[in-house]
Amino acid sequence: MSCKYIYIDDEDKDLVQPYIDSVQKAENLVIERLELDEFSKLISKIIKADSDGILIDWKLDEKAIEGWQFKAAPVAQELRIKSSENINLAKPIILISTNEKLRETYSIEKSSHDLFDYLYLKSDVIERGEEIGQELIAFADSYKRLRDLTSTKTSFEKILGLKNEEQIDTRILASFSNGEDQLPVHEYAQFIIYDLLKVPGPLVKEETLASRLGVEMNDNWDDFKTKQFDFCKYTGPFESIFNRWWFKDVERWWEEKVESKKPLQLLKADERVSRINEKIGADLKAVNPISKGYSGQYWTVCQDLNLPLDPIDGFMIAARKSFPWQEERYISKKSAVERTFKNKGLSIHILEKERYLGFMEDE
Amino acid sequence: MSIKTRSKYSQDLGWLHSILDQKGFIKDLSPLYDSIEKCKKAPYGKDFLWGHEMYKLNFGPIQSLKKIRPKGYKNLQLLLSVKCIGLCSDEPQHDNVTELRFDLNVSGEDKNRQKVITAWHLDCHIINEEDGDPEHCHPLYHFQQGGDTILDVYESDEYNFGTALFLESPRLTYPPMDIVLGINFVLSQFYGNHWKEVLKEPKYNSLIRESQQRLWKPYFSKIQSYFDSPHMHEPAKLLMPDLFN
Repeated sequence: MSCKYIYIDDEDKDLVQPYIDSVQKAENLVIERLELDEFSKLISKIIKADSDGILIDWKLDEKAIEGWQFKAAPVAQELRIKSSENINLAKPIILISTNEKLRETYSIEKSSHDLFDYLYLKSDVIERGEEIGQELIAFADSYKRLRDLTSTKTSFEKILGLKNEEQIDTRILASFSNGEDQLPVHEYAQFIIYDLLKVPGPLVKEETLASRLGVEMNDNWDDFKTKQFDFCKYTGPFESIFNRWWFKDVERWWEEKVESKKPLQLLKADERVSRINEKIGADLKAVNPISKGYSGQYWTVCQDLNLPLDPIDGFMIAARKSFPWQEERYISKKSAVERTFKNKGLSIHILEKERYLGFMEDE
Repeated sequence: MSIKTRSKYSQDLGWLHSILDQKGFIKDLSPLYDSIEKCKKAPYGKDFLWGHEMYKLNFGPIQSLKKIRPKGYKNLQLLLSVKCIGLCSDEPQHDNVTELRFDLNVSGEDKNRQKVITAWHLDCHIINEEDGDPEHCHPLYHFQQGGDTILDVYESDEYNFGTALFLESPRLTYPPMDIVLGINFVLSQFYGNHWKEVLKEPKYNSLIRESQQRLWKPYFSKIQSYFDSPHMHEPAKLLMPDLFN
């Protein structure tokens, strides 16, 4: 069955067509361009179009005729209100933009963008259209799954794909829903995407998983990861867009199968890897630190270089944390010295400013 | 009963986390947050035990110390790790700590960006019958400078130890500390202004008092009992081998 998105942009048809062609490389994805209109007419047109998802340009007002001057946010807001009243209208709203700056703020916090499920840059759409097309299908599928699950009042842990409640910190469940009030589908989607999948916490991405095990991400790692950690892979909505693992289960695996006496945190990468290789019979390689003299007790990844890092060799960055179970993020000293983190729109946390300035004094 | 004990201790850690989170002066509280959930579980699957486990809580830069040598080290950071396992007991006066590892390390960079470190270690000496009497005075709970943290990194190229010297002695008598007492110890010794601030919180004070009742009262009672009746010296001598019969 095909998946239909509508695409709303104020650009001329000829300029928009390359983006449409690019994502349509994904099998079964159909994109229909929708002509801009006056606000309420546009909303009705979107609803009538009966799509599985909406792609919308951030700036709709650059070439707009007078009276049609609005950005994507009010459109999304109106659609979210309508979908709260009618669950069948709950569908992904994906932002598309040429603005690099938007991605920078967007990647770190949701702030004003929390009306949208995701952001794609137009340059990326051209470069990896097929992949993005598949992700769009996955967004639509996940929304469908959420519509079905929430309308049958499925528990949140089941929605997240957990087999039992023990797998998850109960405070996470409590911070989202009291289990009685039915929340709109997009609120589930946004909580899952922004507060669980995009922020390190109970779920970690592959680079963080490898960092905490001290492992180099080579071919052996790929096999090993599938064999050992499929049992704790995240299987809830948006699973194919975000590869994540429940880290508490990984810790339990470490204690039960590898080493019950010393926790991962207190061992260096080579000590972690040698224990894993010995106990599991794997052939993994310990990953080298970002620079010589850095600690091998990795626990996070440098947000700029995406490489394993012990927070002691880094600086905490500013990021809005909505819940206490979300973890702090760091950049490495190397990124600080070379100031490359600034290109990613990252900034130093206020509690680290003084230490950072002291560190940079001799530069 | 044991589940109830663990759940109460876990709740207390939750209180501590929320007080410190609200104050906002500890750099990264994630390890303390993780300890809350861990505390609900029976250590080693043994239902009669409770456990406090927290690794590498980073308190952030130490700014108030004035006599740091060599000069020029700025913005030292302090990390605290605590593993304290004990028996769930209805009678808090019983000495209930069965395992303790407490590591405090302070590190930073010198002018040449070479890393420097100093460390303190508090542990519970495990007595093996076959070991016989230790050569040196070995209090059951003792602080010593260095410890495994230094031994582990001394040979690596990570740190610059300059002309610093590390020895395993003296082992200084000190009562056991769990996460609550450990955090209070660090605040009081390294972050005086924050300590004074947090002491204004009645709940913080009551958490400290409860931990002291649990871990320190039996400790000091044993020492007290030696002075009351010196022939009862054995339990006290274990804690403080300097006490003779």
